Amino acid sequence: MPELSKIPWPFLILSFISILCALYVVTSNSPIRSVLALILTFFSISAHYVMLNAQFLAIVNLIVYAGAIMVLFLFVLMLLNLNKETEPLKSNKWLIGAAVSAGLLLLVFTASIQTSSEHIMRHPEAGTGLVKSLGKVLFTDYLVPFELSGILFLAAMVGAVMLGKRDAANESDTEITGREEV
Amino acid sequence: MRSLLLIFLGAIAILFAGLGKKEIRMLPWAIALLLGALVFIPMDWIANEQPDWVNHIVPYFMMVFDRSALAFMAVIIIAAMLVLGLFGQREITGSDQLGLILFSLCGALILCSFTHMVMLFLGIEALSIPLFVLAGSRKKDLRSNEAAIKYFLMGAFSTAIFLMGCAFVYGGTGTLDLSVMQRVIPGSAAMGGMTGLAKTGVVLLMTGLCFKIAAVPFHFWSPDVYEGSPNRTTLFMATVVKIASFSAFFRLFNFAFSSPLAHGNWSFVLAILAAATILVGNIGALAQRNLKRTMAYSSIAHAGYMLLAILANPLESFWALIVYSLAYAGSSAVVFYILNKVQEKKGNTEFESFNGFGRANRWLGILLILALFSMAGIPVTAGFAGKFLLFSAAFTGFKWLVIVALLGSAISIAYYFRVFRHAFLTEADGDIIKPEWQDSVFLAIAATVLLLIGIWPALITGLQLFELH
Amino acid sequence: MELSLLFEKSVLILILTAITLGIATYLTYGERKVAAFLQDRLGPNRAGIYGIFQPLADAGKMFFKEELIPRNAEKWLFIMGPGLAMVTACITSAVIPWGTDLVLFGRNISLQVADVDIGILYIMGIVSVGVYGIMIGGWASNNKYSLYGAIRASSQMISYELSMGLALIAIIMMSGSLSLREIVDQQSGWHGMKWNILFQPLGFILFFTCALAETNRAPFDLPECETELIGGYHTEYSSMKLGFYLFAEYINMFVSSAVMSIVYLGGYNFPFMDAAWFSTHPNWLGAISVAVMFAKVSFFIFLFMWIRWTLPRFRYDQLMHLGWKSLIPLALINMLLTGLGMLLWGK
Repeated sequence: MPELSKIPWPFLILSFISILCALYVVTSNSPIRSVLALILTFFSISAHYVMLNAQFLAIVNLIVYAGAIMVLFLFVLMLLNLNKETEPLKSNKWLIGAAVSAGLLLLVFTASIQTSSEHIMRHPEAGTGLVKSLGKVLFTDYLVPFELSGILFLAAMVGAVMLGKRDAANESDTEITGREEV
Repeated sequence: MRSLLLIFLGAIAILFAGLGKKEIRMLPWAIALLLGALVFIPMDWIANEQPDWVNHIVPYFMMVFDRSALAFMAVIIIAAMLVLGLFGQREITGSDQLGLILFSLCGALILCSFTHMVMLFLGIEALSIPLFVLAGSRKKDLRSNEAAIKYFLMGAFSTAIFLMGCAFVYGGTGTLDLSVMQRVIPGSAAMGGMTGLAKTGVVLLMTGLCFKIAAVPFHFWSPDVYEGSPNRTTLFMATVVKIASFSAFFRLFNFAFSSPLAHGNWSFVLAILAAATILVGNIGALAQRNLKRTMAYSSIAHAGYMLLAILANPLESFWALIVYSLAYAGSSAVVFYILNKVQEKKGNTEFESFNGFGRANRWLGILLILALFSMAGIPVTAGFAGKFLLFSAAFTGFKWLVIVALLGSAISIAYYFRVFRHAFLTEADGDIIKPEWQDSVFLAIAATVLLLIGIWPALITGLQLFELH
Repeated sequence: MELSLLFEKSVLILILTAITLGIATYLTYGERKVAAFLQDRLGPNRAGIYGIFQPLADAGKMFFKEELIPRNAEKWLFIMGPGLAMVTACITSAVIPWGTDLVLFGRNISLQVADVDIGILYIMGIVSVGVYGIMIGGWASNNKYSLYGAIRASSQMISYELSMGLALIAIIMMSGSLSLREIVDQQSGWHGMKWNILFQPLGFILFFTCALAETNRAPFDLPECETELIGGYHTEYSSMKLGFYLFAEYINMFVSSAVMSIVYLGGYNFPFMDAAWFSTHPNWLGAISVAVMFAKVSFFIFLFMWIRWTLPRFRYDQLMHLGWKSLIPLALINMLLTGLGMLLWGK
């Protein structure tokens, strides 16, 4: 592990922000605030990516997570109208259990990173995270996984449509909504 | 590769065929598709070398369709065929469901042939995502909804852990390519073996995969999900998903992490998990009053037995795992078929609903006995052959574990016998169930598999004369 | 980083922000004048000559009005909403190249705050995040009309972002780069007339439609549809917070006009900019290019206003049908056609 003074200060600040926000996500009572804190977490993680010179990843992280997924999250939460009263009671037993196991996991992670820090590749090739090199790798070596993720999305889309569409058997439901959807 | 491509293109074709207003019976086409895919496998097996165009499309460091992959692919396609054949007649409505099942099957086939962690991950996702939907495909049924949401949450959770494991392994080895990993991962004995990062990564990967195969202590989702899902989906999960996950487990751990130095690091943890899985699965099954839940617990126990194959010497245990998977798929298909029919008549799957079943339906009764015997591992059935091969393969390294497994099998006889008692030894009159002719064909196939392998296991194990890789 | 570079960029950012805010202020005036013109009225004409000080009077009024925060509102989020809307609106302009390089004090000064590798993606990212201001404000107001507005805004933005991105992909395919500077420079051929709109007419129409929807301008202003939702997401807002929302809309309009000029109308390129005289007088070139850029932006802004005062508002389901069933398939077809064209003519 490098000494604290050798760690660049932007990294420290960003890590502080991301950990703080992530903690707020799990401790906040209001789901909406949790989601907002999660968005901030994504922003600080994106900033980490920028620091690693992975601009593409940073911005895609923002577009996909902060810009699309979290908007949908927020959208659903707003419709659910979760108040503090409807929040299910969490007993302390679970809280302590979760905290202990998460703490143990953290311990294992830090220990494993600490013991093998000399093995970790410190200086990858410059420009690995730029769009050009990423695109080149994606369309040569990783073409098969790339195409495969297409299957994955197709399957997910078909599934979503299947769950979302009205069954022929439930015609009576359509009458209630009035307007006939095409 | 040809099988995979055929199934994938067929799935898309079936999806598009469902676009029209007219209802077309898609099922015969789907089964024909699977048959076609199955035909390619012996051809590839004999050729034992990939055609040039395959190498051109799929680089060897992503997927390799070697013989070990082909064997698992054959088992999985047969299992999927049984699911479609036995449940397709009325249950699977619409080309979208059929398409989803086939997409899921594509994922399962990828899990047989990956040589890269990215492919493994995508395979797991392609296998799971359609299933989240299929588990909840009875939209008005609360239990089905519950099953879908539980399966989805657990799937997402296990994926997260799995990905974390990938990241750690990548950090520890600098590669995601399995064959490179195999060289790099043991580290050198002088350096103290595997790096800490790689060790943590392996444990996390193990956890993620154990979620998928529902091994203790990551099994809590499985009984609820199995019970709530529609029967066909449950059978698909219990057979295709489980076998595919095991094939991935086997390939990953006996290929990438197979060197003796690495093996020592993870085998003990896995052995404890296996023992716990066997005991919890069997004891949990004893406590159930519902056949579907019993099957869920028994499938946990079977996962425990199958974990032995991953611990044992891969050369011996590979064919044991294949035989076991075939036996498990065949007997599960029969039991779930009968269970489904009884549920249609009686509305539930409590043990009481099976009263007098065997007396009313002679042939189905005999089949039920055969399937239960195979599950319990009683001789002359495929289940016995599978268990025998598995246990003897694991005996050299893990004697205590084999003893635990034998104990578990002994317990399992108790609850399989309970089904038998309700079906044959009670006085009540059971409902007469007439299987349609298509169903009979597939039941006959399942029975043949169970009996043939039980009597003559060398039919499968004889294949070990061939070079695997 | 060099200190002088830092200074240069800071000055540029300051100027840019000032210009942006000033333009946004005067866009309110412009909007009212255009509306008056289209409706055959005079429009504001009391404050100063031709009513030129009207926006300043409006701004003063905004500042001094009473500030209200509803009792049941989530106070912090209620305050955060307009601020967020304003911030996301302002930071988009960071990657836009406003003109060719100037030479001042012996230094080449680029009229672009940051020439990042991923300029277009940056804009898409900020656009996709831009909805939060509206969503948070609408939700925090604790008013059902505000909530409706917020929900409409978010679903509308997500839907139209897709076809916007797909339209942009066709451009990226042609340019082979995500950097806005590079995209502009590639359009300088044919004596500064090789604009992308000539190759991508369909893409331009798609992008323009989506830009209307993303900025919540009529005919896509359903989030603040006054006939159904009172004021939509800003129903509960008053004073400068309301002002921020309105301002953010105008800034968005300004920035999206700039993006459209860059991506489709050649940005700061103008006919015969490759004349020999300009190469010896780079500052003249720079000045004219900035003027041309702003002329194009003004054209788009006028187009925005023209459309607002001409077309009626969509119904909500029409909006969704247009987005998902017309624009996205068209954008996909456009992408395919672009690919085909590149294959055939080797663009």
